Amino acid sequence: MNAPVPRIEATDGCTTAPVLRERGQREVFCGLTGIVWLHRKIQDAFFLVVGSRTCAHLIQSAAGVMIFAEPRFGTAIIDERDLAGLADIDDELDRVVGRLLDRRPDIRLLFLVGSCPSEVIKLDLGRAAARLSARVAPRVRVLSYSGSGIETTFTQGEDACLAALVPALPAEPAGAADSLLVVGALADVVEDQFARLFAELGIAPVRFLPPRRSGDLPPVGPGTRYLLAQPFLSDTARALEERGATRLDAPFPLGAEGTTLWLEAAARAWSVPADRFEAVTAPGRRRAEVAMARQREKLAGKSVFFFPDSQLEIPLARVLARELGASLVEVGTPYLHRQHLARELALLPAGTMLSEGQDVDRQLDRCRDARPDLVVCGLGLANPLESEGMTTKWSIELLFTPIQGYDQAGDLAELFARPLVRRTRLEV
Amino acid sequence: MQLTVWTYEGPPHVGAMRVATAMEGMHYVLHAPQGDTYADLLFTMIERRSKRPPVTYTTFQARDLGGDTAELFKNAARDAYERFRPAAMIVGASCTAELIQDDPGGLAKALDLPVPVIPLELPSYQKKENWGAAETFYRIVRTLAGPHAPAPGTARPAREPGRRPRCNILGPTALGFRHRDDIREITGLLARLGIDVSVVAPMGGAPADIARLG
Ligand code: SF4
Repeated sequence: MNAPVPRIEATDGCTTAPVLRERGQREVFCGLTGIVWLHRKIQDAFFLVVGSRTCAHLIQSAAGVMIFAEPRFGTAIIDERDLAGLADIDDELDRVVGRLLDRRPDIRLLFLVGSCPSEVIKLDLGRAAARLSARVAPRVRVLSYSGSGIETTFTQGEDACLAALVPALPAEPAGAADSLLVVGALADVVEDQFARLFAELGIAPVRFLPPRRSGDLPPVGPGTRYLLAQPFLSDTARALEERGATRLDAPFPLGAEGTTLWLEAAARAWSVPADRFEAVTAPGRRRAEVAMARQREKLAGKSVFFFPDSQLEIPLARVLARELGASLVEVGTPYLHRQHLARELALLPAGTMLSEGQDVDRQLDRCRDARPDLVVCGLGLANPLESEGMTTKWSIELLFTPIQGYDQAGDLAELFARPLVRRTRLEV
Repeated sequence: MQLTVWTYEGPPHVGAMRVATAMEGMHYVLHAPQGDTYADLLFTMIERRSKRPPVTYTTFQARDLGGDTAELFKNAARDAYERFRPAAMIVGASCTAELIQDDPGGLAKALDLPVPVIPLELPSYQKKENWGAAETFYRIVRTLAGPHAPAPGTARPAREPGRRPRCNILGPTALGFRHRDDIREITGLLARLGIDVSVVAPMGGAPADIARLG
């Protein structure tokens, strides 16, 4: 198939760009935070953190004002009796899980989520999950992963969770037709839009990981081609490849351009004719371009600084630079996965300053020196920077808001434009 | 082990943050993994403070555990002093650091910083936020005011004639429910009763103010 989209890939962008590696105080969430969106996505799963009061407090603070009548997450708080060996910690965990499952017959999938304390005391949650699974199967499946702050940063919690699901996926029967697997939690509306587009392209079967219900785990095997919908899924990708799946290399489905190139990767693998690809994608692409053009007026020429947070920074910076006309001061990412981000790096304007890891005080100094028009950062930094006269966007909003695909491209652009507009309004 | 779906109080080191953040010229060096930095947002978002809390986290990772987390703490404490130049520091461990037993108090002492360094022992697996705040303030007062305090039972000199009675207001912290308004209200009420306020702490108090409690 010929490329249907006019492309500006003359240079290789930031493919070989130097990266500033920092090792100092990191101002980021731990992987437990992923529970906040994962429990809404997998609607019959419960996430039981095995940790401390700090872990319980973190999830509650990250979940913020969203108080659910029956939240599907909780914390088994380790106390001094467990640590002193006065109580057998395995028995205690079994007791907590038993009571939980008695009270919540709606739970079909239980994740035991490891934390820093559970890891430091070497509590083997994998073994606990196997032990408990044997007891409560087939009604409930018990799996484990680590969301600890010593192992995972923010979105890496989702990666660990999905990687833990992979061994539980059924095997694709021998001789089954090739299938497409879309990997990474997406809002249901986005998933539905993509499913429609793939159907119109004639790509089938198409499945999503994570599924909305634990009974719908997608099968996987050597005929599985997978597309990453999120840039932070390195362990999940590795686990899928161990099951024989192959990754379709693509940028991420953000903005009109990213979405087109992402769909195109699947279209190529399924040898979709170019005119069909054009006919299916053109209306969405046009809608996205029109919606983004409105925001481009507000963002063109503005300088943007990204603090490291979610690993979405590089794809987002690419949208800002290429489709919204913004200039990039610094693009920080907690972790740079060169292979999965190769296509993204190639699209970033050459000369963009990239940083990986963090030394928050030094980075704040750089940000203050640069006085960017917009700073994308975590909740701990936003208001202090605002009070220094800077305009900020909370990076966590970019995870909680549906931003992928053609019909969300305008919303994505607006998320960046809104704080700028708000500040001009405040200034008049 | 206890199942918790909702927790009203945070861990004790968050109590210590409430005291440090309320004060002027105090800095807290907390031995903790990166995720514990979430606590900053309680102050910057919920309380909408215009400054980051005066807290440096060591943010150790799994790969540091086999190696030298103690060194990481010492560097963080030294750098925090250099950068923020506080008049006093408190140092301690979060729940995870408590398990690796690096002794932040001893490490900070060995640095021989030119300001008072107050070690905190906040047992995370037994106690909660409010206890942590009370204990932290107690340790700060013991260290900074203790040396000047008259021995128990010492008779107080009589107030000079014509001088209005004075009192201290102790207890208001950052992230306290209406603490700021309460101070204003109570100060006004006391003034109408003819009583002056000498020190308000921790909120708004500097280490030097604590030193003159008594
Ligand atoms: S960083 Fe570790 S101790 Fe802190 S909340 Fe996350 S998992 Fe719990």
